[in-house]
Amino acid sequence: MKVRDYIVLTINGNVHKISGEQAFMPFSSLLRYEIGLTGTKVVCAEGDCGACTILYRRHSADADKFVSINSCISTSFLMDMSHVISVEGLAKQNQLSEVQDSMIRNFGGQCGFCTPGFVMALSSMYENTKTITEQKVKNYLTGNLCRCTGYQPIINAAMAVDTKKVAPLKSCYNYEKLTKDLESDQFVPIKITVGEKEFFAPTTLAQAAEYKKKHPNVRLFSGATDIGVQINKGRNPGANLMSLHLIPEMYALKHDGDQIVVGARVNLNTLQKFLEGKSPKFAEFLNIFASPQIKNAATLVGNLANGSPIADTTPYLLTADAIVELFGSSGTRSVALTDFIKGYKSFDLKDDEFITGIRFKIPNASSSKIGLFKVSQRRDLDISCVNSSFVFQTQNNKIEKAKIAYGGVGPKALRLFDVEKVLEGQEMTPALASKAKQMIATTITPISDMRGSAEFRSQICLDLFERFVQENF
Amino acid sequence: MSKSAYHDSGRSYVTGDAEYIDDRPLVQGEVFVDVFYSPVAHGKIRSLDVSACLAMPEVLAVYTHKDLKHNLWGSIFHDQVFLAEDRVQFVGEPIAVIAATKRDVFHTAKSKIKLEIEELEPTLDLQKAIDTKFFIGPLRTIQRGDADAALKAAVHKLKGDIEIAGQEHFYLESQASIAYPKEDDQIEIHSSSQHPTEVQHLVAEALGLRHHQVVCVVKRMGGAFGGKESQAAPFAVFAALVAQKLKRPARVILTKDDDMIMTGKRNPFKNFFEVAFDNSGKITALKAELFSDGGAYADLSTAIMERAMLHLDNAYFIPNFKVAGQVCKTHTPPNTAFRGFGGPKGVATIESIIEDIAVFLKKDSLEIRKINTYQKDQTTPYGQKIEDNVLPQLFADIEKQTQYKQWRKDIETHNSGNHSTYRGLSVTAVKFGISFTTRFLNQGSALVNVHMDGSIQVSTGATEMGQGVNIKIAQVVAECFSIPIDDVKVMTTSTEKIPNTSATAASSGSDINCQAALTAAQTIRERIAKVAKAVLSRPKEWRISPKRMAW
Ligand SMILES: Cc1cc2nc3c(=O)[nH]c(=O)nc-3n(C[C@H](O)[C@H](O)[C@H](O)COP(=O)(O)OP(=O)(O)OC[C@H]3O[C@@H](n4cnc5c(N)ncnc54)[C@H](O)[C@@H]3O)c2cc1C
Ligand code: FES
Ligand code: FES
Repeated sequence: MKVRDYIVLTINGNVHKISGEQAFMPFSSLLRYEIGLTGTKVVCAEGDCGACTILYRRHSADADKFVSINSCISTSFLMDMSHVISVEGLAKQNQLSEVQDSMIRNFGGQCGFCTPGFVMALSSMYENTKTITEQKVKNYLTGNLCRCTGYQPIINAAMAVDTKKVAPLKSCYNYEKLTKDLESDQFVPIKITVGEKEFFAPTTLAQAAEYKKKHPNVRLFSGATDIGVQINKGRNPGANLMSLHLIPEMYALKHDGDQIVVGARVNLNTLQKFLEGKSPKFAEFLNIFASPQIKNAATLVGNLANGSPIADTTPYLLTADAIVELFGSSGTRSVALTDFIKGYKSFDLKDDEFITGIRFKIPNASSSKIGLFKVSQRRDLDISCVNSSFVFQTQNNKIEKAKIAYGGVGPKALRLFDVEKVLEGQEMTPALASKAKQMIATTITPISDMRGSAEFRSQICLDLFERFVQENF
Repeated sequence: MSKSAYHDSGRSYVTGDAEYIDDRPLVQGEVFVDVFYSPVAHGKIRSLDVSACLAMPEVLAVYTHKDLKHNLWGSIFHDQVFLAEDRVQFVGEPIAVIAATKRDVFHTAKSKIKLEIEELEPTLDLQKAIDTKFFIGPLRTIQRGDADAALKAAVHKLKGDIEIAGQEHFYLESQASIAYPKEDDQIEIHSSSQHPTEVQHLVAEALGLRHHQVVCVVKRMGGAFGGKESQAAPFAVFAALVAQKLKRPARVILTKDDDMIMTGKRNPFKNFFEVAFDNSGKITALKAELFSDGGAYADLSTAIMERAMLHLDNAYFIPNFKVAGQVCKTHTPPNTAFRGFGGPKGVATIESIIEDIAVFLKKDSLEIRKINTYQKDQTTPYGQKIEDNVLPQLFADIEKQTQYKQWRKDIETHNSGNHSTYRGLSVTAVKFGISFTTRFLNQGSALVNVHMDGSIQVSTGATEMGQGVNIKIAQVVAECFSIPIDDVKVMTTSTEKIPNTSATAASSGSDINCQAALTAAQTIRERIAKVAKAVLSRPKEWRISPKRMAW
């Protein structure tokens, strides 16, 4: 097997081949300390503040636009086969971009430390949408913190940009040529070994399974929005690290009958856009998932595989009868999500297996009542205290099918089958709702932590059910 | 001056050119520095074993308090240690300084330090500190008239307390310093600090140097908000210690997590009050006790307390007034300056009292405010005559312009009808004391260099943290010389150019430093004018062509 011992990407129009220790660094460190591009700032190093925002485009025929990501939690090897623009790369021959110019004119920077991040986040907005509203600006900026300006000058700067004058970021550099420079490495697996550490990126599922069989403890990296934070907090991800980014099938995102198939490398923003017409409730719910920067990297599979009992997509997937697709040395295997999650961070996953994708059903729009909720201290960019999903099929006021799932109520997210059974075949009445709530209260086993006490969580779970009933019956 | 100017760093901000401490290029031999700190709030250090940490190939040295020539500091009282000696008083209190050749080894390096601590009962709560009289500094009072007698004679009385929580500064650039050892035992320290002079002095004292051996340079800060007035200094000292010992440049850049753990925040306050007033809501007496949570050491808390007390009257004349203020000690990071510096604690307290009076008398709180607002020639409880008082007029104008009464009615209608949302309305005034309460600090100096081509460089003691002080100074100087603003550059702040400065704080940075720059510029302009007059009064054929003159 021909392998390469480097990753390859372009940064501000230059091709970089990165190998050895550098490949394992946070990408922000590579930019700042190895390449000397110090315009990208690091503040929180955990994806929350956006100071480290860069523009990223995967090298692929269907990835046409640059999107924003957090460079602080992106491990450098994940930047393989991509084009990156950092804040230094926006101005061309000393000519500022429209966003840069507007930020100056509207006093968008005071101490300036957050400014590069805001400039990048706004640049990604104009890259991906041309109709700008104040709400849209705010949505695109949920991943950026500024302590000086109070945001209004930045919003003013965004609103003042003449969208007609904004050039696509692809025109910044000669990407036709740069693409050619990357192409020769596109189908070559990567193996970078530094002492004990090894990074492997296979180009086929079989190679991946073989590697996993040899190294059962191999750590898979998807968007690294969970692992990257852990690493920055000093936790060791293990010696063997693997990414599936060179396997084309992992980007699958398609309809298959009444199901949607989502490959392991599909990020949440792509998924959200894809779902907009098909499962609007879920697409809308993803609005309050993290920030644009996080969602441009984070995957649906990563959200599940991270095993957090408050992963925001899990309750919905549970109520959408999701099936987890696995691959191992003996081939593919499918497991219902309810069986896949066995306990706290524990899955029905064999040593040589990894997740290749998730498929789930789209509820029938006309006969379904859907409620998706997330309760957190802040509305945006916060970790849930409790989340839930209710998907009911009704006909003539009768509940034909009820699906209820909660997260944050115990060691794992739960489907509440017993409660569902009591509701099915019935008409929703106050008495029935109250009976259901009693059952919910006895099924869930929330704990107390910094996001909420057990009592608070229990109460919220009942309130969410009540809210769903009030809004739909 | 009437024209608005863009921030002088605006362009560097948006291109990423603006240089902060950690953006400075690494110099040959430069080492990285991190701080090992206390994991417990209160305890006695039994033993400290750094040998395993030192054994790491990347670790060059570990220093403790024994390596400092002088370990005690404090902006007001010298009660704080740079590095813990035999006891620790808050989680995050620095114990040892680690120097390493790589920046990513500190998690491991710190985990290898063996620390034995005998934990002691900590005080973590302000109320407990009040109850146990666990205090920092003396009790202070401000008094006028006889509040006790007036309270006794009062028509109405209210008694209560108000708690105001702390707040994290979250300046985006965490505490950061680089120290460069220079020949002849000098140190040049670049710090993200609001107070370069204090950094210079503390570095010198801690290292056993004279002030003239240390230069502190501040280009800009990525935010400060008071959090870098006193608390930038210890980190500068740690970098300088390593630079002095190893004779290599040393860089300390805190992670956000460590910064939030180690550094102080806004002082939480708990204020108790008794207020007397008549049927109209006119306040006849106020008696209050303010307690603040200073954390483990004094830092600036006593001055912050004074400012809170000085702002308790806010915009209102209170004939009989007595306020006592006491800073309390808890085993938390020493709390420090934060925008408003205690002022908001006084203001919020009296404003909340006024709302209480309004509720009690079933009146609109604006009525209570108007009735109590300072009028012409009245004096504050601390004896300052209120001059240029626009408040009565302001209240009247606002009431009219906003159609306040109608607005209030609309809100009442809404509130009586809909019970899932409620609305409220309030107009509050602020009277805020600009400048340092320690009066000699209200002075500045400036260095204005006029170059041969007519362009000008200005240096002052002001530090730029986003507030735009530099562009204001440039505006003042450009205006004085009647030249375009682009002909003036405000240079990096350095104790070598402008020594013995005050911190850039107390809302005074622009006033003090712009005035200093103006005085300097005017002096030069007068000198130039004299020369110009002489030149221009020469016979015509001797004159320089006007084209060659700068103006
Ligand atoms: C600022 C911030 C905000 C966030 N907000 C939210 C939020 O609102 N809601 C929420 O639920 N989460 C949130 N998260 C958490 C995180 O973004 C999500 O869990 C995300 O979906 C993880 O996806 P990833 O691709 O980045 O996973 P990674 O970090 O790459 O991986 C996560 C885990 O899954 C494992 N894994 C990855 N791929 C596979 C595979 N193919 N097979 C087996 N195991 C695999 C990894 O080994 C790792 O243990 C937030 C995180 C940050 C930093
Ligand atoms: S540094 Fe805060 S998001 Fe990356
Ligand atoms: S300008 Fe200072 S944090 Fe945004």
